[in-house]
Amino acid sequence: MFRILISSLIGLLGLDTTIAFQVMISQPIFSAGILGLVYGNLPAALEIGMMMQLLWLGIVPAGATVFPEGNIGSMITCAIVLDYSHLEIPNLVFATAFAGGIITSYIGAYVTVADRKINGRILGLTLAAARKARFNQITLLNLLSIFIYFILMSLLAFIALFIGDQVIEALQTYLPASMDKSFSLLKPAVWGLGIALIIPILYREVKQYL
Amino acid sequence: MPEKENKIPPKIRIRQWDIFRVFLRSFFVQSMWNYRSLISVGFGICLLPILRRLHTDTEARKAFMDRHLKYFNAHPYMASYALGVSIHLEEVIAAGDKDAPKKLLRMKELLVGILGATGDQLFWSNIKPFSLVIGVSLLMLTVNPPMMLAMLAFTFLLYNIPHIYFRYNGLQEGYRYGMNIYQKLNEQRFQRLKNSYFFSGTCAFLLFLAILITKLIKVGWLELSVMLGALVVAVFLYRFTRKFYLTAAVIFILGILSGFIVYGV
Repeated sequence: MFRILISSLIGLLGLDTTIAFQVMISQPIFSAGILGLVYGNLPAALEIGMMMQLLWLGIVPAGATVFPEGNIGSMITCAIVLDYSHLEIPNLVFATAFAGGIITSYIGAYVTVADRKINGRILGLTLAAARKARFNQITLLNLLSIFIYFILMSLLAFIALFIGDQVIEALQTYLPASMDKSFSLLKPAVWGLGIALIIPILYREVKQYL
Repeated sequence: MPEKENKIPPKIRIRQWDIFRVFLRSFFVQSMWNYRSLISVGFGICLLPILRRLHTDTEARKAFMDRHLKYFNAHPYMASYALGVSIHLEEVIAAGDKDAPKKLLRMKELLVGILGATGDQLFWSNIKPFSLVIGVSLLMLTVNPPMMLAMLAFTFLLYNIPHIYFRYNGLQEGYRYGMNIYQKLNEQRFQRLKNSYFFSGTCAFLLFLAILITKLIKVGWLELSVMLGALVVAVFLYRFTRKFYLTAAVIFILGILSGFIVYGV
């Protein structure tokens, strides 16, 4: 039940990326903060949120580009880490969660494309409703479109979290806990990756002043 | 300020309440994004309160909706300028100006490029990354949950004050200036705002780097070396390939491999 709740929350926050509001609550630091409050572990959630935020700063959800669903991916990473924060293998959990988040962001990009194609179908119905001057129907079709995106992203989140569970259970079974130390350098490497991805943004802006 | 056409009988003039309702709906302007008409459906839905205010005749309402369901795209926040201009010209159309529909369609076509470019440069390339960098830097300063929430709230406001301002003011200016909105959309006007986010964001980034390096040194020089190594590899890899997933995968493997090399299996 809690899984469904978290998946729905991720789907709901995901709406903020392009569909509704766009007040940035889907950005990793904010969504991690919300997940941290739900799980009751704000500092751990925000550590992941900060790390993932740097990764996705340069992603622009503009126009017809296929952009990675970094926000959904970050929420998956954060949720998996928080789910298993009680285990004695935090580095292994982080490695799994990070990989899960990145893969989810990649698949999420194509889910968004599929959603936009579904919207193309709904557009046909909308135009028909407009020709008949049924304006309430247009509003309902718009709500349907928002709901479809919510369902698609919630489903993606649910599947990603389910696979994350299976992988971590398998790792717990087959890998000795002592191996966790070997994964401890991944976090500093991810910080390095995040900083590297900010540099092009800074460089682009600095160029305007030179 | 240019003279506004004053041909509308008072009973069908747009009220501020109608504009406010359009403003609330503008948060959903991209809700039915599709490859055929991009944001046109969301745009049309934003204008429904105006349609209901200006027209009672079914044919006029159909024509109104037809005008706004045609292809349209803009940055979601800057689309408010186009919404404002549309409200202005729809008022003129409702007053009986036969040329206004053509003007409206032409104006919307012209605004696609300028609103997209201005919004992308102002928000996606400047305000968004720099306000979030400021947020990350502030969060690095504390581990106290209430303070963390305060930092998040500050970052939220830092981003959303200009966001809400542009959404609302865009509507008002578009409505007020109509076809002359171009005067209000020159880049110079936004330069001071861009500069302030750029400079504060850059300072925050340097602060973030200093805090991160200090924290990593406390953990161990090995962690700092791995971070710097990953940074150098990622900078070059991303610079030459521009492939995010390839860069992320390489750093992921390097991060794990370095752990295996140092600590063994």
